[in-house]
Amino acid sequence: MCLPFLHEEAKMIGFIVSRIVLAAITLLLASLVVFAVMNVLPGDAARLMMGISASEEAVQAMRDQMGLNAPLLTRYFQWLLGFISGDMGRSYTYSVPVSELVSGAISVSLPLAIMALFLSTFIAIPFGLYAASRHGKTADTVSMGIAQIGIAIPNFWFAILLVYAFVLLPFQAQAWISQGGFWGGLATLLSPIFNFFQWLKLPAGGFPGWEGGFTPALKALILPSIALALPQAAILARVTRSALLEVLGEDYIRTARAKGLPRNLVIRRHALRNAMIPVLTILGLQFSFLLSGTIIIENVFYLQGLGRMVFQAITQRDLIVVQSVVMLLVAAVILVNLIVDLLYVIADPRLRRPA
Amino acid sequence: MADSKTRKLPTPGIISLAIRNPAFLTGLILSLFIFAGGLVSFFWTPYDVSLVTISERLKTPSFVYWLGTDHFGRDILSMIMVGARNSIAVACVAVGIGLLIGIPLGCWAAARGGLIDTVLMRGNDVVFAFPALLSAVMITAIFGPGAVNAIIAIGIFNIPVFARVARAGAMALWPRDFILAARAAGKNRIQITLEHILPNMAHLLIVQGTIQFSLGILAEAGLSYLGLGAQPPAPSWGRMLAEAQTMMAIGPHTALFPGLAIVISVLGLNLMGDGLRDVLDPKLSRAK
Amino acid sequence: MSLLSIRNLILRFGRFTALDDVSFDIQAGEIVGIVGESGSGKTMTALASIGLLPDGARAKGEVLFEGRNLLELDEHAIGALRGDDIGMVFQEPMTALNPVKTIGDQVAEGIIWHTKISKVAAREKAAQMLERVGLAPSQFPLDRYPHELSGGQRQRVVIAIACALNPRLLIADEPTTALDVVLQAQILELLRDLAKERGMGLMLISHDLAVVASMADRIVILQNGKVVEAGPAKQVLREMHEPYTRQLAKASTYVPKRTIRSGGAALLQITNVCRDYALPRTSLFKKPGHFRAVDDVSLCVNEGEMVALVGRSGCGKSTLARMILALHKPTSGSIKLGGIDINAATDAERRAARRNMQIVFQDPYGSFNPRKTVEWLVCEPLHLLDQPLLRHDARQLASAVLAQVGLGEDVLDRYPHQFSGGQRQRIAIARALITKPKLIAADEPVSALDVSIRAQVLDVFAELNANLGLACLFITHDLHVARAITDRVLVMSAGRIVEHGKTSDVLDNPKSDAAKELVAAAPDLAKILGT
Repeated sequence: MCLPFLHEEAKMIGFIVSRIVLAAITLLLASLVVFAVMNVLPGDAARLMMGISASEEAVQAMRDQMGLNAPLLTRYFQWLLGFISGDMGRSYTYSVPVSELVSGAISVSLPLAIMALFLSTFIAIPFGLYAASRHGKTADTVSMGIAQIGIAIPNFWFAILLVYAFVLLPFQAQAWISQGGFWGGLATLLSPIFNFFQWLKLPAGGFPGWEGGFTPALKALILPSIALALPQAAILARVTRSALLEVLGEDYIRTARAKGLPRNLVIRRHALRNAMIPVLTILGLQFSFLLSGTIIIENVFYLQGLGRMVFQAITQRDLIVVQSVVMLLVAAVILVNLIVDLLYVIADPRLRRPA
Repeated sequence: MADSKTRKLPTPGIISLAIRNPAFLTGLILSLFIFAGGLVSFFWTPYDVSLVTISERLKTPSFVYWLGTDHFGRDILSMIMVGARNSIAVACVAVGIGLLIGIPLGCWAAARGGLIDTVLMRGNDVVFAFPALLSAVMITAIFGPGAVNAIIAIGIFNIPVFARVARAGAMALWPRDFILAARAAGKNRIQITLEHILPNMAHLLIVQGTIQFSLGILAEAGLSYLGLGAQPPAPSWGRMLAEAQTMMAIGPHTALFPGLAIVISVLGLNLMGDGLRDVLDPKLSRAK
Repeated sequence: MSLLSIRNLILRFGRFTALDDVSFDIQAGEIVGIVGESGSGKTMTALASIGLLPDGARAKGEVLFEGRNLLELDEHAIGALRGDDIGMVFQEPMTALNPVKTIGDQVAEGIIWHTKISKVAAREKAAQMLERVGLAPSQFPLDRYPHELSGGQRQRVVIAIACALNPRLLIADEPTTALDVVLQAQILELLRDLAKERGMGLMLISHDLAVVASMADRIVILQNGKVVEAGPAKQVLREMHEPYTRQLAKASTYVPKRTIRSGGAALLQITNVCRDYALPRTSLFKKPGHFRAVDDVSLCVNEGEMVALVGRSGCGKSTLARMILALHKPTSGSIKLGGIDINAATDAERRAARRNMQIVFQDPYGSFNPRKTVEWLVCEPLHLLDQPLLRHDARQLASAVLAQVGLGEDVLDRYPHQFSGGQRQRIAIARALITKPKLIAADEPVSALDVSIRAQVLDVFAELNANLGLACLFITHDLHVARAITDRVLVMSAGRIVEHGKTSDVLDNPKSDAAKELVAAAPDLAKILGT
């Protein structure tokens, strides 16, 4: 009894180790790509930073200062080792260590990403389950119509509309109420909502920092996280629904029904866990979209997060910052996908104990 | 007996079925609406898009200016029509790049297997690890902003998507009996891919194509919102929104209509993709 | 009062009538066989009897279980019967179990739901039930997952789920169709024993008259949703009042007329062929092991000879067939066709060899590219010719081979989905014939077909053998097919050929264990009715 158990355990550990090794290889290849793009493709980083009009001597001095005259491979390993040990070099534009900039930006971006992820997951999964349970009925069609529109709305436009609705509109409404007429009447009717929005006092942009207190910082992230979460939630809701419908067509659902279990219990006990496997895949893939979204959303709301930072660094040609932040974001994507792979092991016994 | 378990591949005669699918039809109408707007703009727009009339600035929608004017007094409807050209062209070429490079790569990986497959798929993983917009921002920033570089930036990220879909589709077909029959008839891998694999996964690629097309429109809007897409004076939906953002307090309608144009075109394409999937993919329609 | 009494059941989906005025009874402790071909409404009868009709079905009439009409009971009341008083076993054991739950949990689940006993007690009962169906917990612990069991073992788990609470009625819908003959015999025996010892009524649904005849006390024959004939099994099958019953029985035992040919020169010579498959890697640091699917096989097929290769599923017979057609390479050994080693041949030689051997697959739906016309598909092997034919000549050749399998010229421009399974199998044979091969390898060519169509396709093979002197290698687990149409038989087991000889000799007087097992397990209608 003991030996075969050990054997199965070994198989599972083999799977986990192989996933980790694959992730490490991907990470290494990605770091090569980042380094190559930053150092080979654009021609000359020093020239780019100094601008076309700079003198050759100035550029040469810049090259020395940046260590660009060392052999390529040496520079790659220096950068990689520095990156791993937390020394990412100095920002050219801000003249501060990149690691300092990064840690400040992470304190904005990480809570934002987590809030958006939670928001989208907790909206989307119940929504998808509801639609699947009403499959073929009007409620299903309407839900999926809403989800389709949600996917089609660009997040930055949604962000602009959110700011308008929560921040600008309540003020304008007061003006309309005083004018009377149809719009004034409508605004009066809706005034409790506007009053609520005004009471919330959500900022239209900027981030006060966590040291200024928890509530104002959280408030500053509410609208951005809603804007980020919406398209993700819409996609996730659709995936949840179709995964569940797919599973509900499986033979083992019929077996469970033949045991006498009522439909809802069958969904809860047999369908959900199987349906969560594809949902997990999409959650992993979406993390990369979420990071893409932060670049725009942080710009819309003037949040000094990683996305806005990397965008500014790119436009300012601060390549040392770009190189490190891009690597950081890529590493985050690879890590999240590794975690998803490992969650499969929990969700699916076929991976845990391959026959 | 065994018949009921056999998955049937989609059969010819699907165009009429697609037209009868409500999602596809709605999507087709919405997409054609935008497409027609872009097409008409080549010959006629209500006003000249480069016509700056400060006295007419920030007019709300009326019979004179159907969708109002922006902060320079330009007609928003005209700008949306011309902007449609830009969005469609960028998304179209970007999808084309993905199709032309990604599908052969995916088919190659599936047909050869082994080391080539491993190398290609590992490369795919690496590209997927880069958040698409981040890389697009990098490419456009390095090579300079503009429509052409936006196309390249978006197109590059369509390559692994199509490669992955094509590979998965082809891998599912290779063990089928009719492929074995073709091999017994002495056909080589290229012939089999052209005659048997591609026609039978065309539906997957068409559906993915419509999805990538809509994502391309969204990505283009995002890039031009950040100022990295088509450059002024050429109108683009994303930049219209970026400019409108600063005018929200005095002219909220300037932000409304370009956004709606994006929503309508993306929604249209996604609905078309959905409808096509229902009609073409027997596996999903069985789940219905 | 009957245990189950179906009265004038009419079942419609939109305009389509699935069941038309079906009536029959099942008494307690009785085994009733429901027989019919595809589309006869067998499965719908089963689903109606457990109240699991699909959405969109409109039922009229009565399905009385112990006097209560299931069609009128609410969901809650039917739920109380389902799994407790009525159990059901399904056709496809590979997909009938939830992959993420252990077998113990899946058996215990119904017990807990209906009896409200504790989890521990339910697992104890589940263990007893699994032991009863042949999965002793010492060997198959309760925490096994379905993917760790074989198809036959999974079907035992499904039976354990269905019988865990001693239902009074057990419905088995084609419970053995997906299994090979030996497993079929084991599962049927288990079902019969369970029914007898627990006094269960058993509704056994099958397309196979022999299976039902060997099991059932009474038999109901369905055709196109109507009851053709019903009565005591032996009596119905001996007297055969209805023409359809006669037709079914005739088709089930059909033997095409053919003259036994003495073999000509050696056509296919296989010498010491092995084929290994790599097993999935268990560790990054260990070399993956391998599995020997075909182990040192040598055989010979002569010109014009009909040879059967029989064996249980997974014995390596399909792998061998694919190697013969040069679709897989052998790990070692040689395969010669007409004296040419097909794996060492030049391209031109291999084309010539491929012209001389073609294949017919089991699944008539999967063996055609659905996007090509019949003409295109039938002409595809002409690719092997050294000189391409003109389109007109190719078309004439295609209609000629289609005529040989009994199809007219009008099929040329149609698509595969426009044909029935039997017609498609004829088209597949036509495709194989177009290069005028000397050998056709047929991998279970009739096992996916209804019996009446099966007889017609066997006729086609017999005619081709008689008229063209075509040699055939039939790969099958169905001994009836082997007996009906082949001169020689090779018995394969665990990758090896364990017995060979004249078909009648081997099947009447098997020597090896594998052959004995197969012969003992094969249901034989004539023998059942004879005794």
